[in-house]
Amino acid sequence: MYFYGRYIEAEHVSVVTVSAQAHGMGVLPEGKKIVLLADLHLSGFGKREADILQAIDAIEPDLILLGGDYIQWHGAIDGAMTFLSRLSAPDGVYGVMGDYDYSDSRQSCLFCHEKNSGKPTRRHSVTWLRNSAHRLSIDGQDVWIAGIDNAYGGGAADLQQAIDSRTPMLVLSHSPLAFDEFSENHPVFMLAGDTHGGQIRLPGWVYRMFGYQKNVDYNYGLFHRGDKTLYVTRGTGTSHVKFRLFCPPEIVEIQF
Amino acid sequence: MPILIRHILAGMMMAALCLQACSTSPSTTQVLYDFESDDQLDAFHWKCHTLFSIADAYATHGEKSLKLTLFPSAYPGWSPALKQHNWRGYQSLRLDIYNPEQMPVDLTVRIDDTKKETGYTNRYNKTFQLVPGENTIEILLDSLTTSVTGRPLNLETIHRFMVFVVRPDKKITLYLDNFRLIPFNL
Repeated sequence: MYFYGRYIEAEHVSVVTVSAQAHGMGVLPEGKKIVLLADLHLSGFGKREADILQAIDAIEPDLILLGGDYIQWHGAIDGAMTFLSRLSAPDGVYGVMGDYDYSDSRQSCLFCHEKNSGKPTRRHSVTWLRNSAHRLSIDGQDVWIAGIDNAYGGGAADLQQAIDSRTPMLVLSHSPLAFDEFSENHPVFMLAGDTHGGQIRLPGWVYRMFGYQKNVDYNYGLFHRGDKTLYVTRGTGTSHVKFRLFCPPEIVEIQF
Repeated sequence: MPILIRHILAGMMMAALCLQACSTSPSTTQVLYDFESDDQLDAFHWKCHTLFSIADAYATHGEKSLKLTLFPSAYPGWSPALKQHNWRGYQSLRLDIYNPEQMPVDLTVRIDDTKKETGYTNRYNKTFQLVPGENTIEILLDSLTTSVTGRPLNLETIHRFMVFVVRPDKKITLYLDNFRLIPFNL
């Protein structure tokens, strides 16, 4: 079982398709595709990472959304930067940071800036969302893409302008617990990671015992509360131990 | 020399040595940061709108200083990891700052004696005006009290030290050096 969890399940990433229209989440025009990636936890860049990029290219997404935790805790950043540099989509690549990305605060600056400089990095074209929102027009349909970054200060309250507009919102958050900050009366489609689906499938009381509330409340999959919807991805990488059991890594293709 | 006198003198010397060993008051300046090497920057809390770099200019201790570049934002500033949390026995805290700007800069100092964030009224807050040119911020440690409530800070558990500018509307550059604790006998 160790061999399976360490060398088979943890290594093999598959594409999981979610139909947004089927779940009443018509945030984007019909026919559009989003790729959601989270919890890459990259130590470097090799064949596995190249295969993931190839799978994303095959989907031909209109929009790529990134849910944070691109590196290991206090890990090197170069592999993640190489990976991010290879991402592109017609309507853009947007992302939020995860707690692991801030584990080395000085290094975390490199996600956005050139070394020892305030100039924007030229290594990738990701737009970082830090308690901010961008209003996009995709095929004539307005949509807000917002991102929550609790480590940056603030949270859902800072997105009030987008919320007040009553325009459909795509919200990126590393932690799914941010879902609770939004009213059930607002048409928010939140995409989150962080849980790894548990990484090892366990009953909820075990996660509660270890203090992993995010896994207790929103371990994996779709959640509906009134007009708001949340999708939590199992992510593609691993943390603490390189091992997955009955929580295979995934690239999420959301079809509208 | 009679044996009794020798014993008395030996006893007095032992007592003097014990008194010195048992004293908790430091006698030398404790330099907390002198910014002489780039690796000290790893101990700072980096966040957006603030840039740190080691500079050759305006050093008051050693050869280098810390260049602080603060961009317009809420509270850009400097927050270092404190290697020494027990400040008891020292008289004051000092920090040399060179202001190359043409105008004075208001710099706020915040000191916490608790790890958990407990709000403005449970920490020391004071704003110092930095004139163009050389400045030294000196804070007498027996004046470290919390804002509004006036509670003396626990000098044995100093957890956080920050300096920042409140909502600057333009870029500000400052040079810091020789962040130190001063003993009573200096």
